[in-house]
This record gives sequence, structure tokens and C-alpha cells, in this order.
Amino acid sequence: MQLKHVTLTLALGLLSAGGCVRVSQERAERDLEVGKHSAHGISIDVAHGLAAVRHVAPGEITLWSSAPAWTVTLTTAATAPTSWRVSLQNVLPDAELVGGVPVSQVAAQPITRKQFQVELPAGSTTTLTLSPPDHHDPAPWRFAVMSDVQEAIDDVQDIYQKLNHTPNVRFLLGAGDLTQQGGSEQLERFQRELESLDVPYYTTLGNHELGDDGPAYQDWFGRASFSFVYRGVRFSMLDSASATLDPMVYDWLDDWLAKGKGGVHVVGMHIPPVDPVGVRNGSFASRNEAAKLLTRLAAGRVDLTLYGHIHSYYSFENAGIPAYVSGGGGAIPERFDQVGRHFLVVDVDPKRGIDRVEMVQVD
Amino acid sequence: MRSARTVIAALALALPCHAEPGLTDAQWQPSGIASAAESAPSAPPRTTARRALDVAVAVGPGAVVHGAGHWSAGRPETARRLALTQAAGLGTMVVGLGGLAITGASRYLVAPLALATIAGAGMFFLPWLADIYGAAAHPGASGSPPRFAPAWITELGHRYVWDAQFAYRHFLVQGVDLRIGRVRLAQSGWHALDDRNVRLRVLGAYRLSGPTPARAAPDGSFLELEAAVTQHRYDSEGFRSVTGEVALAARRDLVRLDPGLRGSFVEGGFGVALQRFEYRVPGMRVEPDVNDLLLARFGFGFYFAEAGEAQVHYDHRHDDYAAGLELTGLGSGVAGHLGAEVRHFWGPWGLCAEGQVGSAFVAGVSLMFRQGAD
Repeated sequence: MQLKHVTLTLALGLLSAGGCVRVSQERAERDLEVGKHSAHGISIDVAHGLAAVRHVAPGEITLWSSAPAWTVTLTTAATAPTSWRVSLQNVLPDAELVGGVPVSQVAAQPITRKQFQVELPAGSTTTLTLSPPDHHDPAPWRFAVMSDVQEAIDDVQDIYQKLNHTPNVRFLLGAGDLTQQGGSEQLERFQRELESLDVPYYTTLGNHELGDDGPAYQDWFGRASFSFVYRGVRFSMLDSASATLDPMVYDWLDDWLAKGKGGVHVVGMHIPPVDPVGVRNGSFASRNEAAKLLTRLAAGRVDLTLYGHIHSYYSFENAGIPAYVSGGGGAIPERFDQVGRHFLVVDVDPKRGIDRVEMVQVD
Repeated sequence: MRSARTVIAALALALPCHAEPGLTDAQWQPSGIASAAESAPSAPPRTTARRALDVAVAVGPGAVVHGAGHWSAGRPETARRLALTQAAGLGTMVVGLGGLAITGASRYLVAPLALATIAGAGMFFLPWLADIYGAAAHPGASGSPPRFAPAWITELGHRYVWDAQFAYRHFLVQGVDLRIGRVRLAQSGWHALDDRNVRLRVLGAYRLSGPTPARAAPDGSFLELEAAVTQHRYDSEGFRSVTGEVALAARRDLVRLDPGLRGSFVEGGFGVALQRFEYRVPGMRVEPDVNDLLLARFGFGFYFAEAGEAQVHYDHRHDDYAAGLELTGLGSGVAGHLGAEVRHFWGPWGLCAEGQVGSAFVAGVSLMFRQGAD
């Protein structure tokens, strides 16, 4: 065979096999658009994308919340309606919406949904703040963690019922794989099932949400990478659904790590940087990128890392940071591990750090 | 029986750091292996148009049923063997993937099941490449390997690495590969020219069978036990890793399976590695992490009619520059990377061009010098 023909064929073959090496870039760029929308004479801008704009109609706005507290800036046109029904979904039951304009709560059903009547002068800009009364309470508190439901959506109510009976849990944190394939129908079903949960579910996405035609996840549940602070604890959720973080997400993370350095910082993502069972490699595609991320988390003095993707429970350390894999939402379980469906309950003291992480078995 | 040997060959285990360069010796016919001429089908020589048709059949329908190209070329026995190997690979993959699904990738079973999946994938895909090669090969023009392994090879070159996660792009690569009898000692290094990044590797191997500098072998097939230590320093990122590994590596020339595939070979290998990551954070003492890593590889290649060889391969490594493929969807993180390598020699001097696609693109060329291969 001719050397030049072989070389050309191999080069073309490799290039065509390679595809893209920034597989999550598009999702990172879409994150920047979450919480922003303009229609029917109103412009909506949720700070840091901490809520997704679900629906806008004349006099109506619906937002899906990704965090306990956030602010939204509403700018109305001169011809816009002045009375708006603002529906907030996935919020803390005691959260309040306040601003420099008349706001009145008109409904709250189910418990994690609220409706407010807001008077917005035409041709003005108004900032509203959603916040629970304990937002700055320094006392110890607890949250729960649950991921990887996928095809077990029919049985997820068992988990929610047990969660509802677990005392003092303020919210549920998720590390992705809510659905089997991430289509709108499955995301809607997941949202419907959430109506029986007494606390909001703040989650990133998993590789099962990526879908065949690009993820619908961000339209439904907001940003894949985001960060918020509640009761002295910073939470940073990262989009690792493609076994990597996009360089844009690293830039955001650097900012969140700098801001969280003085307090307690919890970082969550779907695919862990390192699989505690290395030969399985249910982890980042590159061990070197995993080490890069863990070096940054260690330098940022992160207190706790939470992962999904592996359908079992593991407690270990990465770069000296306590780490938990909790994929107990019901997806095909890892056999012979004696774990089964479960969720985590995390007790945190904003002054001291993570007090305790307990695995609660459902079955 | 021959089908079984085909399966075993496809499962042959290999991962040489430096694949041995082939030398053309069209006159030399090792004992015990039939020459292409004496084993060639009695059918009249194929025209160029006919060979093009056979290649088209191998690439098109052959993608579904491997061996279609040989069937088109009038070599039904080879076609049957390739199809049977493909079927065996499919079965092995189903066992591996099915086992992983049923056990939820259980920590206790994931290593053998992942190996079965990778081996099955090799047995499934490599016969397709062999089919295309056989359909395209010109009778009498196929290359053959050197009778002896080279006593030593040195390498100096450049690699370009495009990785979205790291700033480095240009590397100076160097390597020395020395053989004394059955023992092989190798050292290689990648030195970033635009970043504080160095990857150094030393390897020792014992050749259980195959050509050595002092002993000729009937073909290029070999079986080798390898042990290696790699230090990778990401000083600009603040971490370093040390990896120790053992692996079994093999090459099997396909002329042993079918004279029509003279000049081609398959490679395979498996092993395990232990990695220690050390984090260097200013003002902090960070506990190192230790983790294991599954090693596995398969590839297909052929010797040039001139001196040299080319191959394409899959490598399950996740710890080198190329690392694993980043995929959108369910397979994220698990797969390793793809690669291709071409080596050509003019006397003792040679050129090596390689490319890899994983989390990063890797491409480059090396100048090589060798002695002892004959």
C-alpha cells in the first residue's frame, strides 16, 4: 500500500471519529440565558439564573426556582399591563416575595408553589426578592440529597414519603439523572411527581437528561451549573453530565470558590471526577482533568462533595475533601452492595462545617 | 478450529509503547507459513476495477456482515472466518454489556465484564478492518515484518495536544527502546514547551515469544509481559501523579489465520494500573488519592510493502494526554480513546506519525533511528 494514501486515510478517520472535545459548551452557553426573557411588554432577569422562566403571558409570569433565595428584575414597557400574577414553583413553603411595589400572596398549592399578585407600574424597573425568613439564620440545619431516579419514576413516591417524614429537612439537593432520557414528557412527569414532596428540589442534570436532540432540562429546571448561599452555606452545583466540565464552568467555579472560601461550601455534580472503583471509571473521561478539578476544590477549601451517577452509596475522600456518591433514587442498582434505594441527610453547622452525613435507606 | 484460532488471535493481548517497525523482505518466507502465492486462490488476478468493487462491498455491506469483501473477491472461506469472529465478538460484547447492566456495574464484577466488553468490541470491529484490507490488498505486494527485533530504537519529535482543559499545546517527545535478548527496557518523555508539564515513563518487559535481536521468528507475532512506571507532573495546575502498571501485550500476524491476510496483524492487551495523585496547594497539606485503572487495548495494522507499518487502535487508558472520549449521552466517561500510527523506515532512519482522539486531540511526528532489525 502507498504510504501517503494510508496516512491520509488514517488522519481523516481520526478527525471524523473525534467529534467535538467541548461537549458541554452549548449547555454552558445556554446557562447564561436561563432566567432571562422578554415578551408581552415585560423583561425578566433573574440574578445569576437562579430561576427558569417557564411562562410569560400578558399579566402572567411563571418561574421555576433553583435556589431558596434570589432576586428578579422586572422592566415593563409603557404599554404593559400593571397587574401581574407571578407564579413561583419549587420554592420553600415559607418563602416570601418582597419588593418596592405592592405584592400579595394569592395562592399556595401544592406546598412548594406560590402565587403572588404584583403591581408593576408601566414603564418602570422593579426588583423583587424571594427569600425565606431564616435565610441568614446561623443556627445548624439540615438538607437531603437524592439522585438517579431514571426509570424508577413509578416508585419515587416511596422516597418522597420517607423524606416528608424526615424532620427538619429544608430542601432536597439533586445530582442529576431525574429521568431516563430527558425528554419534555419525562421532565413533566418528574415535575408532577414532585408535587407531593413537601420541600423544593434543587438539582443539576445528569447524562440521562442530555437527550437525543439536545437537553430540554434547562427549559424546565433551569441552569445546569449554578451557585447559591443559604443559611451560611454556599452550594455550587456543576454540570458534569458529559464526564467533564466546560472551561466556562471552571471560570464560574473559580468565582464561587473565592466567594465561598470563608464559610461552609458544598459542591455537587452528577458524574464524579473519580470513581472510587477505578477500574469501572464511572467518572471523568480524563483522570488529569479530574485531578485539576479536585486541586481547585481543595484550594477553595470545599467542605463536602456530593455525586450521583453510580447507583449505590460510597463514602470516601477526594483531595482530602469528604465525598459521597449517592445514586439511590431507584435506577438499576449496583448489585451485591446491600444498599438499595436511599437518600442522604446532611446536618450542617454554618459556624463549624459539616456535622454529619447519614444514609437513609428507603427499602 | 481455525475459527477458534481467529477468535484467540483477536483476543491477543498487547500494548507495546513502541510497536515494532516492520521491514520488508519480500523474498523471505518463514518456515511453517504458507506464502501468499502458494495459498492464493486459483481465481484469475483481479483487475483494479474489480478490487475497487470488492473494497466497496467490504466497506458498505461489510460494515454489517464482516467478510463481505472477501466473499465478493471469491474467498468465501476467509469471509466465513471473519464473519464468525464478528459473531463471536458480538456475543462476547452482549455478555459483557449485559452483565454490566444486570449487575449495575457491580464493584465486584466490573473488571472482568468491562474486559469482556472491550475484547468483544475488538473481535467485532477488527474483522471489518481485516476484510477491507484483504479486499484492497494487491497479491504479492503485501509487506512482511522484520526477522529480528531491533536492538535499539531512539525517537525525537514533536506532538501537538489540543485540550480544552489545559494550556499546553506543544511537546518535545523523546524515547529510547533497548532490547537485550528477551528483555526490553524503554524510557520515554513528553516535555511541554509552553507549560510546566512533563510526562516521564520507564518500562521493562519480558518477551515470552516472538522475534528478539538475536533470534529470528517466523513472523511478527509476539507475547510480552510489561511493567511500567509513569510520572506525570502538572506543576502549573498544582498536582502530580505516579502510575505503576503491569500488562500482558501481544501481536498476532493474520497470515497465521489466513494467507489472504498476509501482511496484516492484530494487537491486544490488558492490565491494571495503580495511580497516586499528589495535590500541591500552597499553605495546605492535602492527602493524596490512590485509585486503580483498567488497561486494555486492541488494534489492527499492516506492514508496508516498503519498510514500516500502520495501525489503528482503541486504548482504554484515561490517564494520558488523549485520555477518554467525551461523549454526549449515556456513555460519558467510560470509553477510552482512538488512535492511529504510521511508521516508515529508510534504512536505519525512520519517521513516525501518530494521532489520537479522546478528551484531547494529539498529533505529531518523530524522527527515529534504529539498529539491529533485519
